[in-house]
Amino acid sequence: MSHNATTVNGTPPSASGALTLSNAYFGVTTYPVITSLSTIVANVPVGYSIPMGRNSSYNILTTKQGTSAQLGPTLNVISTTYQGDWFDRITLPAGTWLIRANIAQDPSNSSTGSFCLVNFSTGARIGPVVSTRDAQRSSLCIGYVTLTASTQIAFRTVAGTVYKNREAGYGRIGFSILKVA
Amino acid sequence: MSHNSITVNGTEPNTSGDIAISGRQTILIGRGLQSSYSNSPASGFSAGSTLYFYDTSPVNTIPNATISSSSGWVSSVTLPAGDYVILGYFSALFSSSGSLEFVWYKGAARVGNGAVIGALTLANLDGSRLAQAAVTITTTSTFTLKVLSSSNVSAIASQGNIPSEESWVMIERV
Repeated sequence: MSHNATTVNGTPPSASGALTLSNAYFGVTTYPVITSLSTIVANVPVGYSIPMGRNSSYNILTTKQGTSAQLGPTLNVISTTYQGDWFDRITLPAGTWLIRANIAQDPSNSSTGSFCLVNFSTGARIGPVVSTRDAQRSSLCIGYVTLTASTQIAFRTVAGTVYKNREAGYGRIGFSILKVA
Repeated sequence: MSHNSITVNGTEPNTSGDIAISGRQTILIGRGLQSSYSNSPASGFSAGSTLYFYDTSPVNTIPNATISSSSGWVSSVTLPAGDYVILGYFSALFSSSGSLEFVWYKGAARVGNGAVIGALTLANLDGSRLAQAAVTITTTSTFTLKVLSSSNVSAIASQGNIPSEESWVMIERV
């Protein structure tokens, strides 16, 4: 068997034996969204997705091969008056994704809810649960999911009520979504 | 030259000659699954106790890395030689104002920073919530998250699903 039969992710070497890979193979696509809430949103009960606002740092990098992402609203917990700059889900194409979201917890928060990253349609969890019972808890959400088709993901309250009572609270969410494969 | 001598990031070709590589070699344990901590092998939260993570199908894309578990409860991760960033977060229920400190161990040696979580009434608690270690290992090594200190952590029988739902480990080969 010639070594020329070797492929990497299905790509064979050239006639001279060289193998050139695009960055897409190495999953460097990033997709950061930095959000900032005011006092528009209060309680987000179980089963509802958490709205996130876009601020001036909002950005989508889709410069790498085969990647794209969109934001979508339902926003049924905030007034339609304010829905223009908000989203509550992110649509990702097929692939394997590593999702990280850092959330500034409000030190005065006293709600007892919890939330996690979910499949928007099915509610299936794609990461650990983040509790709001104490300020001294994790502020980093992670998820790792392989999607076989375009899928929407969201933050969703899974127990109790997540309460956003000030800008320093759960309104400060920064996303980093990396396409792994 | 045999094609079997070719590897990419330690990954060998399959029988068809294809090398399937992922840009990020990752381990992720703990994804919100529910199981009472009383189902785990944990014996307590005293200093030196092992902390357990629940995941019946953890992600592991690091070649030759192994995850030690029993009935879905993970006790340790064994990694081959290489450079890694290891993150660990553990969540627990408290009976009253208290705290839980934890840190990564490589074998019997501490590595990385200690992390601390606290109960609601311990409002002034400060410090990292994440135990993080950046390590270079030259031989296969086993990593375990252990308790450094604890105060007013509820008994294992009272923890319920909180540790399984909220605790996690992420390891990335760099």
